[in-house]
Amino acid sequence: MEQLAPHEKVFVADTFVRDPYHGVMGCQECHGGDPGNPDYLTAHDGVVRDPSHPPGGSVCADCHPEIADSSRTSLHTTLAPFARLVRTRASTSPDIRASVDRARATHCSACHISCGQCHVSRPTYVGGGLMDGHVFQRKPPMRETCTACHSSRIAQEYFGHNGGTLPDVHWRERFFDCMRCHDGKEMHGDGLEPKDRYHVANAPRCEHCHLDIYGEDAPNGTQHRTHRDLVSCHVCHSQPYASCYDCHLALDDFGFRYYRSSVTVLNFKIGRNAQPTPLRPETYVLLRHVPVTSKTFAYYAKDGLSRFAALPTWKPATPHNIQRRTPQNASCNACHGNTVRFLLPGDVCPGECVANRDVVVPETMVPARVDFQAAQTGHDRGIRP
Amino acid sequence: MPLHKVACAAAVLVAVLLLAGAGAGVMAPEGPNHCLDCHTTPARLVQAVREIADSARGIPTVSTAFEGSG
Repeated sequence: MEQLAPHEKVFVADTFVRDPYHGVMGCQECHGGDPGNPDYLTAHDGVVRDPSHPPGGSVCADCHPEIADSSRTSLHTTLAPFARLVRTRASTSPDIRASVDRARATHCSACHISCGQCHVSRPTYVGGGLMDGHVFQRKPPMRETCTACHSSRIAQEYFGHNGGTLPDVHWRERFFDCMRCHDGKEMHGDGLEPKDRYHVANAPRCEHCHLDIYGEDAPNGTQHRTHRDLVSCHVCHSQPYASCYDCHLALDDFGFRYYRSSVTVLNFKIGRNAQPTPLRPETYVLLRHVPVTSKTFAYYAKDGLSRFAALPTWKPATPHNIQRRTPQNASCNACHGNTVRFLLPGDVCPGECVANRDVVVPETMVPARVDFQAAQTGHDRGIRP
Repeated sequence: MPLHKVACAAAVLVAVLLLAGAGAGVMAPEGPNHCLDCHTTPARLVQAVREIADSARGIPTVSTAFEGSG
C-alpha cells in the first residue's frame, strides 16, 4: 500500500466538520492540545494522537459503550495469543522471561489496533494517516485497514499476488471485501477472551453461506458428506500459500526495531489438527509454518525460547485463496495416497521434529488410494454453489 | 399598581434574567480554532510538515534494516 504524504496524513476535510456527531465536538475534546494557540509547535503540547486507544477506556466509550467494552478483549486489541504462545516456548528463568516479554512487546505486540485505527485512520503499524480527511468510516476500507496489516499472507493470497496462484474466487467473481465474512460483531469481539482466532465464537465459517453443500441434491453432496468434519474446507479448496521459516528480531543502532526473515516458500501441506474443537472438529487441516525459530529472540536473550519444542511450528491455516476446483480435488487419488500433499515427518526441519510430532502425518495415516471405479461413482459432477 | 401585577412583573423579570444567564453560559466565547484553520488547509499543512522535516533532517524515524516479509 502506498504511503500517504506527511501532510495528507493529518489533513481534515470540510466534510468531517459537517459530521453532525463527531464534527461538532471540539478537537481538544478527544485529542487535547490548545486550539486557541496559533503556534502549531506549542499548540500540540499534550496532544493525544489516537485517543481511541485503548478501546475500553477511550473517548469512543462515551457514546459507544457496548462496542468499546466488548472490544477490550478482541484479539485485534489484545493480541493475547502472542503472549501465551511466546511464554509457552520461553525459558522459565524470570530474567530471561522478562527479556523475552520485552522483545514480544517491542515487536510481536506492536501491531495492535484501536477503534480509530480502523474507523478514522490507517493503522499506526502501517504508517498511519487519516482516511478521507478524518471522516469516520462506518465500514473500514479494506485496502487501507484490513489488508494493510494482513498483507504478506492474506492480501497476497486473496488478490492472487502469490506467483502462480489465482485470486480467491470470492474476490475474483464476487468482489467480496473482508467485512462480507468478517463482520463488525466478530471484529468488535464478544467480551470474552478467545484462546486464539480459531476459538472466536462469532468467526465466519464457510457453511454460513454455503448452507446446502451437505444436502442429498447438493452439488458434490456425496463428497461433502463423506469428508464432513474429517477434512477442513480449505484442504480441498485452497491453493498453495506462503510459509515463513524464520524471523529474527532486533534493534538497530538507533534503537529502532526491525525483523529479518529470509525463507518464504509457497507450499501446500495437509496435517493433523492437534487440537480439535467444536468449531474446528476436522481431523485433517492445512498447516502453515509460522515465522519462528529457537533463535528468534536471540538478540534479547540467549536461549530465550529454551522450550521451543513445546508448540508446533506448523500451525492450522485458512488460506484466503479459495477455488472451487483445485489440483487436490480433481479426483479422489489426487489426494488419497498422494503423500506429496501431506506434511510427512521427513518434511519437518530436523530441529523441529519434536515440536511438530502432533501435527505431522505418518505415512500410515495418509488416506489410502481408492478404487478408480468407486472414485468415479462417488465423485458426482456438480455445479457452482 | 396592584400588588399582583407587581409580583407578576417581578416573576417575568426573574425568569428573563435566569434564561439570559443560562444562555450566557452556553454561548461562552469560543475564540479562534487554529486546529481547523491549519488542518483543513493543505498549503499550511505542507508548509508545517516541511518546517518539521527540515528541523529533523538526518534523524531517522524507522529502521532501515528490515528484510523479508513480515
